[in-house]
Amino acid sequence: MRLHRSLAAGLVLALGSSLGAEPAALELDGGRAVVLASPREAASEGFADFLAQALAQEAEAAGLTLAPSLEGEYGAEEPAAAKAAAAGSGARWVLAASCAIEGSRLLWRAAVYDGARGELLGSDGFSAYAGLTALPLLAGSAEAALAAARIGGRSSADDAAPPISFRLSFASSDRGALLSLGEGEASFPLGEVGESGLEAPYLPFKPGQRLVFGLEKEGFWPARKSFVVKDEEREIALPRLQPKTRMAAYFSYGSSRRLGAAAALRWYPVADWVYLRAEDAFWCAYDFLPGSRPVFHDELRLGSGAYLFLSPSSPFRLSAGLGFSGIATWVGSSGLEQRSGFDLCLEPFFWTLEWHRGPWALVLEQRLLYSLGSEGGFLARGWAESPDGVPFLALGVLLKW
Amino acid sequence: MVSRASPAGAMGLLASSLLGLAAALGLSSCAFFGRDMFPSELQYREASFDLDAALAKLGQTYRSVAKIERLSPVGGESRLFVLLQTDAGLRLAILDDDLEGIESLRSDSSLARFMLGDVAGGYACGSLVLDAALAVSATADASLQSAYDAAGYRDEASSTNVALWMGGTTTLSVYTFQYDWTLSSFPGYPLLPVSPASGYYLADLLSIDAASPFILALLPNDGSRPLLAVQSDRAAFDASRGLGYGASGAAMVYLDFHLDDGRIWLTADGAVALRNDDKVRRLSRIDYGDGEELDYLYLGDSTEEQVFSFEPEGKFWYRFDGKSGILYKLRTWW
Repeated sequence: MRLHRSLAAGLVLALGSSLGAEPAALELDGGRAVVLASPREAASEGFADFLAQALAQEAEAAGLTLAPSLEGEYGAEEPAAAKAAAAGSGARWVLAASCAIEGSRLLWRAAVYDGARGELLGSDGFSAYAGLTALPLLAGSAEAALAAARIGGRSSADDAAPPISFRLSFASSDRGALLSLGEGEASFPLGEVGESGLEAPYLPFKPGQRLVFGLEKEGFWPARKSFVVKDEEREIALPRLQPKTRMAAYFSYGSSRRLGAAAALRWYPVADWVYLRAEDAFWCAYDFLPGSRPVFHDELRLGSGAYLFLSPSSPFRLSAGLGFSGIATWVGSSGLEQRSGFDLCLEPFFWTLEWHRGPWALVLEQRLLYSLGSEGGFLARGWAESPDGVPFLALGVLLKW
Repeated sequence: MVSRASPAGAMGLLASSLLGLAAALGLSSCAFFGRDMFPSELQYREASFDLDAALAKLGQTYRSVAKIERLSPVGGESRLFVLLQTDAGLRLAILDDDLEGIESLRSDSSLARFMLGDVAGGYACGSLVLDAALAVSATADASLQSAYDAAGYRDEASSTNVALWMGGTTTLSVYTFQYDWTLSSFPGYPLLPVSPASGYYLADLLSIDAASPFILALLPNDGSRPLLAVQSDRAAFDASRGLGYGASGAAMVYLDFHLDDGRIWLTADGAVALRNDDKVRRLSRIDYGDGEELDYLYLGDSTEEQVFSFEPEGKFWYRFDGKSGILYKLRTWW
């Protein structure tokens, strides 16, 4: 946890210092470090010296050579002071030590900068009773800051692969969505998606590093994006957020109604998981042959369905359900004793395969229909099927809100 | 002049667009748009009649419908003859052409499957002959009762009625009657050399008038493929008598499928066969020239308890649904 705090704090400072500025590479010695001590207060002077010394020892232990220590005048401008210290000493790594006394407590912070760009690589801050018992904690902070920065002990390959020199930019159509680095409690907000996407603050990631981003927006299911950092500047496409659906309208065309269409309304008692559906389909059966006359049908279909396997944020979803329907039929010829009829059918199973694109989705549906052979109807009892063996498939568009 | 769009015009445009689309896709012949879960024949129903209820009202029970045929005698009224199989033998229900009611219900030992609208404006069923008013006018030769596969035509030029049936395994019996159904001749003609040893069953005969093609539908008794013996006209048939079909110049068209329950009807526009091959039960219209399928109408899952009949002119057909007891008059789909 302490290491996480150190890294997170370091990132915050790095963001603050690098906004709007492209890092400039300097000719600095990657094998050297310089200690930058904060302006000294009499009360904390001893502690600051101890912390600076601890940082120096940790740097030497990491295989770095030390340039003469400097005393900075940076205050809130620590990154700029670190950059200046590196330029003045020729050492790439700047070890900043600062201490202050508030009442009986000592507050301190140990930080490691890449002097070439003024980037904070790692830091550790803490507070304790201002006494001898604080000294081991100061030493611990120095060790933690060096460990978080991962300098000195790094391989030559690491040195040969510097962090990326550009800001990560993201493409998303979900305006107003919040993009975070990481997920859950350990996430760190990067900003809100604007009209043209999002350009994150500069973050010194290494090429090949795997990152996870989270995208959230009120009324939408959160989404995550896993990404491996490349050393070339490329826009990262974020997944489209899927709205939390409570209602949807559905319009479809099907193989069982070739001169007609259907419109349906879905209500989701459990958003994006369970829905109740009412559908009305109207179609005409007409062979376009000399002896044929149009036969008109209207089907009212009621049912319920549930989504299976895939989460609401997935673009592809599968649902299955059941229901029943009533079909009214009108036959044109006046010489018939029965010119209209009503058939009742059970629908023991239907499934949909859906491709969701934000507020709409493309839906492929298949249904099984069993006619009850109602008296006064035109269908015999049994499984209803198209005479040419084509399954009852429908393709439609779902509009969600 | 400015033309204005109207709802009717828009509907017309939509209809013509759909027709154009169907034609462009070449779908009109395969009836693509008419296929749904409902019976295709719904689109072709012209009239219906609850035969079950009507017979019940007359106190007539029946086991099944044995045959349906629309008879159009020369100078007479077209009527629908429905032959009923009852526990007490055959009964005949005669309906008007529009299926508005039963005009006559007859019980007679002379009734049989042979039916013909005769040259004198009357009707024959078996050896029972009725006049235009449906009164009994004569009793023809009793052999018409026993000939299960008898079919006939009338010759207006010679004022005769003719009945044909397979008198033996390879012999076609041709019985010629005067206009009053007095038997004038009854020769037999060999069908050799086209006949298989097992012989044929005469399924149907088409001879609308003297100039139209003369066609026999023959079903081999050994279960092999059905055969259509096609001759250009009645004169060609008359000239071939005694020679046998194989040597008479008749075109022998073998169908490349088996009939479902041996049911085939001959019309002016082609033979209609009940098929159940390729797992698709359908009524298939067959070209007399090459025996190829011209088009078809899908039927439901089962044709059990269903009786079909096609009139020779090819305008209407009839279907009796034994489950509901309803008789339908339908337009043909071509």
